Amino acid sequence: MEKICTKLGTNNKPTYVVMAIATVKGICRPIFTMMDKKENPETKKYTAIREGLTEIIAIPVYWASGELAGKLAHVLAKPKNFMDKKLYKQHKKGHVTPEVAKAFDSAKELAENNLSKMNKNLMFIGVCGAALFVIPALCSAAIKPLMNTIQKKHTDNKKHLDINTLEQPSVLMYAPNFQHNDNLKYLSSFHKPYSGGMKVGGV
Amino acid sequence: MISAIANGLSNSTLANIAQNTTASVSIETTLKSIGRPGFILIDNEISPATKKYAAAKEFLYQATCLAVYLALITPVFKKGAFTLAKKTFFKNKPEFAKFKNATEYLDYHNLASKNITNRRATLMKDHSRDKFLHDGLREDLTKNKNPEKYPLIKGTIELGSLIGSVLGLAILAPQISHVTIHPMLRALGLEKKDAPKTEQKNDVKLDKKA
Repeated sequence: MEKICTKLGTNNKPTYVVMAIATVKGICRPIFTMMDKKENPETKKYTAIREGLTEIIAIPVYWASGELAGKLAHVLAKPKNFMDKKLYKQHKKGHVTPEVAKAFDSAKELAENNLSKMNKNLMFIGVCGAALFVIPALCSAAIKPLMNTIQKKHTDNKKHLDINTLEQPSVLMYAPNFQHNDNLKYLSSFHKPYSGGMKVGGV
Repeated sequence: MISAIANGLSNSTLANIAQNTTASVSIETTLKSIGRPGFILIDNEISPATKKYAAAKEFLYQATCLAVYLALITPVFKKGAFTLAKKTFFKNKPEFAKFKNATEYLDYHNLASKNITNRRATLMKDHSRDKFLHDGLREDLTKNKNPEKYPLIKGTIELGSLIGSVLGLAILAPQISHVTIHPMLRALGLEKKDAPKTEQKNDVKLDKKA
């Protein structure tokens, strides 16, 4: 507990909270939707899958956007970005006067000190970008085809079980003809033992 | 240009926001309430009525989340975590004894994150003259270049905010929005009031799955 708190206190990445929220949301939101008794079961299922998929997409996107944006800090946190251009050019050419050396050292220190701040800020910007553009765009592009595939599969399965669409067994499509059956004329002479009433003791 | 970006990204206020769970979640929820309905509205494959309905529903959901979060979660979990830790988990930790409550600590932390010149200037202002006079806090802030920031306290508050954010946004907000969204949509005229079934049959049906 103490270790977790100290780590969060020194390095609370903006991705932690959004990923935690997305994970719990991905589990709870579909459950709540499925628990709704008023909604039609098909709509419930559709909405629950869509909600789950949204969060499944969101979790890795948040992580990747934050980490990738954070990596840019190493590119930007360089002494040349924190010192006067003219002095930096002189430093690059090798004209190391005390003024240039002092400016470079100070810029180097500033860059090192600001690296962690820039990393956090870029991560936050990355997460915000993901929330504003990347996730909604990905969801718009990916969820519909995914849902259509799932729905198609579902209707295909349903079709196989539907009695109206099942292949019907071959049946006789004509009425049986008894006209030429010779056995029929003997039917009238067929002896039928008396079986009316109730009798005790056999025939 | 790049130097200006680098300087902007080194901003302490932005770094404080990025490291602050409550602030970052609030900003992200606001952005979600713009981004998600926006992408629904630019989708050409949905009918205009459905687009309007789905975008309004998404916006109201995110707005409800933000309202629940700011009204309930921030004061309860942020401040509650500090008080709970001070009284139970970290009762013996001396740093917790130095601060009365979470607000005082966060105020101190904000100052400690600034550079020494700005920190001294802020502490010299009238409203800050009597601040942090106990436990050598003011001395630490005015004399040390890198004053102690007490990461355990900061982490405790952030953990409280994180738990509150998860509970609020993933569990509580969907329940509240479930109750409130439909009346709000009806009030906006985007959803019909419960009408007899025979009348409903004649209406054009909205694709609520969109």
